[in-house]
Amino acid sequence: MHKYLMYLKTSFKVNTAYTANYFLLVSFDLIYFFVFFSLWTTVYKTGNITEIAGYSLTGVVSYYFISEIIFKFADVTGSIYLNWQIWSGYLTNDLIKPWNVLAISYIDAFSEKFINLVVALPTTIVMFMIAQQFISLPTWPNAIYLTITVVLSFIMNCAFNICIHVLCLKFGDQESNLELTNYLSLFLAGAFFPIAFLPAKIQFIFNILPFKYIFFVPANIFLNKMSFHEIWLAWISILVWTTIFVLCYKYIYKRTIKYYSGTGR
Amino acid sequence: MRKFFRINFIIWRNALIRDSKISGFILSSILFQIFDIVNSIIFIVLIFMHTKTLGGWNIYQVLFLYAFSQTISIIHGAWTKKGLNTLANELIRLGDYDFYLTKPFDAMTLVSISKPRAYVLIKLLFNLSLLVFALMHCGPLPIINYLWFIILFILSFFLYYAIKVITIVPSFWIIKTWGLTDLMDKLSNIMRYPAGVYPRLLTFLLSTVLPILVITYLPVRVLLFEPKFSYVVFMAILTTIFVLTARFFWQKGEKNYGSASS
Repeated sequence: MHKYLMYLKTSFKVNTAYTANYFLLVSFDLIYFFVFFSLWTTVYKTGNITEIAGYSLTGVVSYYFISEIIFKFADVTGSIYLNWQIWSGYLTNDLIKPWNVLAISYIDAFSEKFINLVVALPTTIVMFMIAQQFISLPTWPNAIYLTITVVLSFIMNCAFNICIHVLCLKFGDQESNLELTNYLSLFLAGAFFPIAFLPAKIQFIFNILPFKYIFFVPANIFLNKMSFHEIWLAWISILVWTTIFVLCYKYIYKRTIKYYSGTGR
Repeated sequence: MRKFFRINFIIWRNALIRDSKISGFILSSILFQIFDIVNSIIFIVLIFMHTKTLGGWNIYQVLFLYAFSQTISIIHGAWTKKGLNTLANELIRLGDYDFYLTKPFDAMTLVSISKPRAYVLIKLLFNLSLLVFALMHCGPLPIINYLWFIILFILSFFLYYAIKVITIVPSFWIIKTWGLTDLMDKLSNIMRYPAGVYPRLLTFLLSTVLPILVITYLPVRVLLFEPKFSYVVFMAILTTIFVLTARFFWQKGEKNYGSASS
């Protein structure tokens, strides 16, 4: 355990070396929020709409507000380096050390995302202050459930991403596949708009997949739209999906590590 | 000028050879790009399921605006984006900008065109189909509208490039900020929707101080609504100012560049 704590500490140090860069990145994300904010405000006002699929204007703005915060933590695509380590040959460094590749990938992602979340605090406050009349806050219990859900979905999303990364052992650089799957998973997670806005038949597809736990479910907890029973079921579901992804990773890793040459491309 | 076209020809030929060797990568990228278009269309359709107009524009006009904004982004994405991004990612930090400074050609232009991505142009085909589809539903338009539109399109192209350069150029002073490469992509989201969507003060700022909005809004407005000459004059002045500003900052930045030791 000590070695992993040391790794986490080092990882934090590495990530804080580029604070200015992180600050720029998270500040630019404000643009997304304001585009969606302006867009939906216009739609609700010009269409004289009070609700769309159970979402008032306050509900939609709050949805985008919390999605923006979740995005800082749960979107792990750029924070896992396993694919790069494999095709560049750097994985050898991890293979010869007494630690688990999966655990290291989790630590890398966690430290980067945690710093991301902290650095994003000023921009989050700016976002809140500008749109506060349209943002509804959750109850205290729901705020706690939200935190637990986001952490669990982070673990699940990491496991899903690592499964794609490890394919690099057999099939080579997965960067473009990662870009594609990341975009697809964001779409299916409800990062661009609430899944409830879609027709019921299409919603069915989104609901059977695990990605809704990354954005849609946490956002609905934030909006106090879910009962504790539903939240509890969501947690179990996330844990089941995480187990499936971790098993997939282990299977792929075991079958493909023999192809690793350590020479890079 | 002849040199510019010759260099471009050689760089593009090499890009085509390189891209043809990574077919799996290209397939994934094309799928990604198609999905991006599909996602945006779904989003626009979703919006129009609940309203008839958006900032005074109907669904086909908004679709056309979206497709036009994508067209400009794609052309730059294929031609200048990667080259300019490398300035922030690598060239300054590693001192590789020396390579461009020692060539008998304008360094800013050479960096911009140095890393074209030919396969990105495939997305343009899908995008052009969407442009034509949306235009067909916007009714017959006078020839003069098309004429002004073409002129404004050319100016928009240069304005977009100038803003991209201005967003990248701080990397001459702040070395470890490759996050700058993302700024233009994020700003491009603003160009996708009519100006009427944004608050008036913001519209003013996005049309003058950081004129990202006018890059698409003015040409499309001229084509679909009113071919005003004043728009062309405004755009020409704005483009000239921003191109000169980009040039000025690049040259200032170059003076600050200290090779690998920077």
